Amino acid sequence: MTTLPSVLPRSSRCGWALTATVCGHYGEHGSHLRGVVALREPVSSSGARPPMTSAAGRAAVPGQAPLWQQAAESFAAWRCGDRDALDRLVRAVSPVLWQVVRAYGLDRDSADDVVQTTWLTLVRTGDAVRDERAVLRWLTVTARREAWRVAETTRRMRPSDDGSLEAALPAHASAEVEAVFDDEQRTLWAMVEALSARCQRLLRVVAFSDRPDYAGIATSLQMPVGSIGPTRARCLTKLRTLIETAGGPR
Amino acid sequence: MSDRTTAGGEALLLARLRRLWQSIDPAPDDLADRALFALDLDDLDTEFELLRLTDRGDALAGTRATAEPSASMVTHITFAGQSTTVMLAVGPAAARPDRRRIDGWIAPAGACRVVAHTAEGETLSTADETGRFVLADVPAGMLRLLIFLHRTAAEAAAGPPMPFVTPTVEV
Repeated sequence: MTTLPSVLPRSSRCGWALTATVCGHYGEHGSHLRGVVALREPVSSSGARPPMTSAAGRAAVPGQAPLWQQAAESFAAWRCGDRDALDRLVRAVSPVLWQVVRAYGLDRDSADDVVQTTWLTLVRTGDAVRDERAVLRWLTVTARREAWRVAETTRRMRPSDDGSLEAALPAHASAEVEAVFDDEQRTLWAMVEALSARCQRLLRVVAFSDRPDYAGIATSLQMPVGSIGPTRARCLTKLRTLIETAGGPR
Repeated sequence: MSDRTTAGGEALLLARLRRLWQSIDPAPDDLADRALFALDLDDLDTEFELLRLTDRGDALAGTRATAEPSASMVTHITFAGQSTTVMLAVGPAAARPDRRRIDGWIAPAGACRVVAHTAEGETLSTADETGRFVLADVPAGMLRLLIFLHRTAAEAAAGPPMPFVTPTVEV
């Protein structure tokens, strides 16, 4: 008797929120339909990169769909019964969740724990995500909240003058990593390190969790995170000023 | 004004920052594997309490000099929940590099069933009244524990215990 993967989504939310359901196309063998799903938001038929309206949402590779879109497709497919889709979702998004969680100053083990917990929460309560297109946002918000909670708990439990400060410091580039930086990266990193620790961490969160800029979705997300607008603008402006002041190559 | 003041310029800067942080502090290669291992669990929609990884460190067991330092290394891992703590001491099993022996302690103490999920499937063990249990020979690699512990007499009377579940760790 074959062993079935245990995580079968028993969701009534199979299908795209606004388009006609594609779940009819996903039988037990939905994986062959990867790429066939039609989305409400137009994606250029040439696969060209969409307009630069989002940061984290943008594809890392030209021709590849933005991460929010990949996540939406995988999440929808999983809810329709494609078991491989959860694998794709977790592999695509875990690196982003790691970055966001580490920005809260968690050590590697704690960050790992928070990322695992976030996925567990999605699987157990994922029906609450009504619109598949919001799943990436849901995941980063959930991870951030949990990272904040763990960071606060850790901070309260530990005296401030022991080695735990190390976990709270921003990521430092080791000599080996810096050795492979090109001049541009090295310069940019120097600028980032010149910012306050708070700005560094904030920009890291912003870089990996920026909201895609598509109309019609924002009102349906109903996921208030708290406004970070003014501080975000200040930190970005500081960084840009540092970059522009540094000018050309040293 | 320079390109950097446009929305496109800002997006470009954020993209450069993403590449920077991904170079400096990349996610562990096996993070997704361990998360998926944690999700591959029966009865995921039943009640359980998730224990959290709160401490991990390596220590040398004993003081004898050895030609194989790894043979005497013990990894201590602590998981904690609202009112339950599980401590593990992970060491090599019979000096085989691909097997592990795990000595565990559950607090508050109580006899209970322990189920270990590894690459080989389920391994059963039992904790005694002091909360101590042993997994004598499990494969190195991913590990997740389920601990079936009644916390109160009322719980015990009500039926099968709700499991405590740890995140997936690498041992």
